[in-house]
Amino acid sequence: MNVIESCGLAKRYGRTWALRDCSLTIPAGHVVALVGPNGAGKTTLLNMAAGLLRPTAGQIRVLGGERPGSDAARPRIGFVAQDAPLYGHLPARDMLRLAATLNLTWDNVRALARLADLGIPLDRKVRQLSGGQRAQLALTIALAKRPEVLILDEPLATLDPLARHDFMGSLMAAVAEDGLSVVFSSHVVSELERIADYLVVLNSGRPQLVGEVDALLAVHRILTGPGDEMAVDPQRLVVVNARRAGTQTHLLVRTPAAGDPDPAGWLSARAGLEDLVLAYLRDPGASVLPGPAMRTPVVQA
Amino acid sequence: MTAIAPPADCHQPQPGPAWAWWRRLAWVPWRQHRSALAWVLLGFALAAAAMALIPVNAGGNWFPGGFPDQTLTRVVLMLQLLPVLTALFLGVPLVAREAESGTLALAWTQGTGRARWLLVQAVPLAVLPALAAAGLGAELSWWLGPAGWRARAWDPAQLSLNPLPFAGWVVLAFSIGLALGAVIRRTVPAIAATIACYGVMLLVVEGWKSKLLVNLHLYEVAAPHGVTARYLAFQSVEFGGLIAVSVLLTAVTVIVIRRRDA
Repeated sequence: MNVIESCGLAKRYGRTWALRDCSLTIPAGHVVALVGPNGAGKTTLLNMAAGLLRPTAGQIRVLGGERPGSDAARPRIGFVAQDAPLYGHLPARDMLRLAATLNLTWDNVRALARLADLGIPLDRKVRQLSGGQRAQLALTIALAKRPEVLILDEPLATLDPLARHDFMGSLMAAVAEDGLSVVFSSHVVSELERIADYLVVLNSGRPQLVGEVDALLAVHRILTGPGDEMAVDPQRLVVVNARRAGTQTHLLVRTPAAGDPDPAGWLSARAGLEDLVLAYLRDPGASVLPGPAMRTPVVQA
Repeated sequence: MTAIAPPADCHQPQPGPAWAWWRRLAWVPWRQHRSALAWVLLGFALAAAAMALIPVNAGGNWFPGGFPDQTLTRVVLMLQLLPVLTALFLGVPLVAREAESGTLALAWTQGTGRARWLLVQAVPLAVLPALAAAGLGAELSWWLGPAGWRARAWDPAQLSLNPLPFAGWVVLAFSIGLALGAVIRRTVPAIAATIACYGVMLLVVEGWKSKLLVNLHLYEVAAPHGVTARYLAFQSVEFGGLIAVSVLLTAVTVIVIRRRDA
């Protein structure tokens, strides 16, 4: 089953295209990081998947063919919007009860146990909770409906490092417990490797890099050497991004297949997820998408 | 891992028949809007107290075409403002305030759909002030006394303040506020638009009624008998019309919020 699949998806606000020609498939069973610079269309895409926005053009389906926001989709998707909106004037207890009332499936025992574990006082008004506590409360609410998919829009943005660590910890625990799929957006690219096993890089409203993290890392390498990027055989390696530092050139290259031999005269190193994401974001023309696009570099002379 | 039992007062929903879910949902408007509801009902209560405490000599001072009693004019104006109060405190904020605070993204991604979410809140929040309005309408006839009431029975403004039509006006004002709040999505402009729309509706309907009353020569036949079948029919038609417009407006609001982006 695909958690999200879109075809030619586009969204326009006035004269600005937030998302354009976005065709994308995100399979279930992953923790998917949706990364990209501000204004790349991450929030638009996730809000469309949650059924809050309608596409200007194209199509989006969730949970293997359901229309986002439909009666079939809503109960099965836990969604936390950007800045985790909650009713600030309600005590946490009533916020929880309100969400419980608005859902047919609801695991109250677990929700309360989670909040007790986190030490979130039920009597305190939501607006008096710390940012980390609010994020955890929003996550608890999204998890309590026992969704198949959890969609989180910039869950880490407003959290301090400690709260961020705790939040990811409890998210990972929930994933391990329920086996749910997670799609979360982030413009923070560090720390992603520990969390995500599937990556979607969105740039200027288009998907640029889509795939499982391990597979993507296996076909990318950082080459360091005295030459310039022209010295690399373009038939065999695709230079995603080149950077000069003194006499040395650092290249992030894509190889035709994992385990491909390194070119002579270059020092080869494994690329981290952060290197990969940054290299692609610096060069909006480069892209790796599942399907035919993945195979284009494999042209042996 | 310690076992944590849920507190007794915490709510554990059970799957059940559809009506049970509706009943359970009734807690939502209560928790979300109870303070606004309290302010509105306080407005109604103050109006009721004002009538109970201030005497009026309506029967003696009023005659067709003559000067209405000043106290009466003020009370009528005060009563006509109560539907606006309902619209501004309960109708407009229902969608507009959540749009402003960003909580629509929370409310509209839960298991309950947008239409059900809207109706489960709108219906009780319109009906409760409408019941209060009906009570005030009954108090008005008591306040005017039999003679005073008969003297003004066919006056277009007073006709609208009978229990049924007055309740209808409260529901209509609420629906106007709800619709404009859902379309404009910002509380302050929606409040201004609601006041304008309610004012125009009031003027238009009063105008129609005056014409109709003159055409039917109802002024003449009215006075001596008090409540007649014809009088009740006239009120029922006004009430029915107002409710029909309200239902239509709310149906349009549901369509709008289902189609539009959050």
